[in-house]
Amino acid sequence: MISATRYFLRYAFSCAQVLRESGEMTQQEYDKVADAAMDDKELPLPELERLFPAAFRRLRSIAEREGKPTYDEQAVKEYFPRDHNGFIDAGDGTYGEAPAWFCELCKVKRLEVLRTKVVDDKLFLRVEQNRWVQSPFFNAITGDIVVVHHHYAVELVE
Amino acid sequence: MCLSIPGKITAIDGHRATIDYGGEVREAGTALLPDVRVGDYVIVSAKMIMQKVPAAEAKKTLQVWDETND
Repeated sequence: MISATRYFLRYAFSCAQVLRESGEMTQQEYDKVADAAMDDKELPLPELERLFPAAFRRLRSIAEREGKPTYDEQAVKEYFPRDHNGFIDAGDGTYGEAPAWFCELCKVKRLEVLRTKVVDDKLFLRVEQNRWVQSPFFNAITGDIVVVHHHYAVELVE
Repeated sequence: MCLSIPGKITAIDGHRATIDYGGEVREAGTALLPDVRVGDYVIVSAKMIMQKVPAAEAKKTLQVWDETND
């Protein structure tokens, strides 16, 4: 079974691109995150906390709401698929100023694969009329249900 | 690149598009969305055009981005 931090990183990887573009993450940090995500390697929890401060601030707020001293491994694993969209809908942090299309892109969604295409040995999945995602972690076929975040398919729904 | 910033297509040559990010010009493939046209605003990832963004929303985004980076 995939560890909580590796699972978190699969989802957070696409956020890293945004953080790099906004200058909140260096190219070197981004490359490290990208390599770890694509090669399914571990990044230590303290490093994830440093690189993705907004997600962990939200995890701490969830723990506080639930009367816990801090978040645990299970909470880290469940953050993106369970909690992330709620913070977007609430306009938390930068989401309060972000345009609607970007907020939708940031949401974790279960979508049906409408079409597949391989370009330069990379598998891409069409999941909406004008939206494709890359599928670096698993193969998928038309009709599959996948969980997407930004422009990546993160999980194949069994 | 440019997952968070829409770019404007300024030219298309075969399966490659030239995309302007406020003066910074990049190229990306059009194989996934071959119906894109010059003037469309798009999001690029993995050197491919992945998504079209409505022009009004894209312009608003770029305006906010410019103000943020002034």
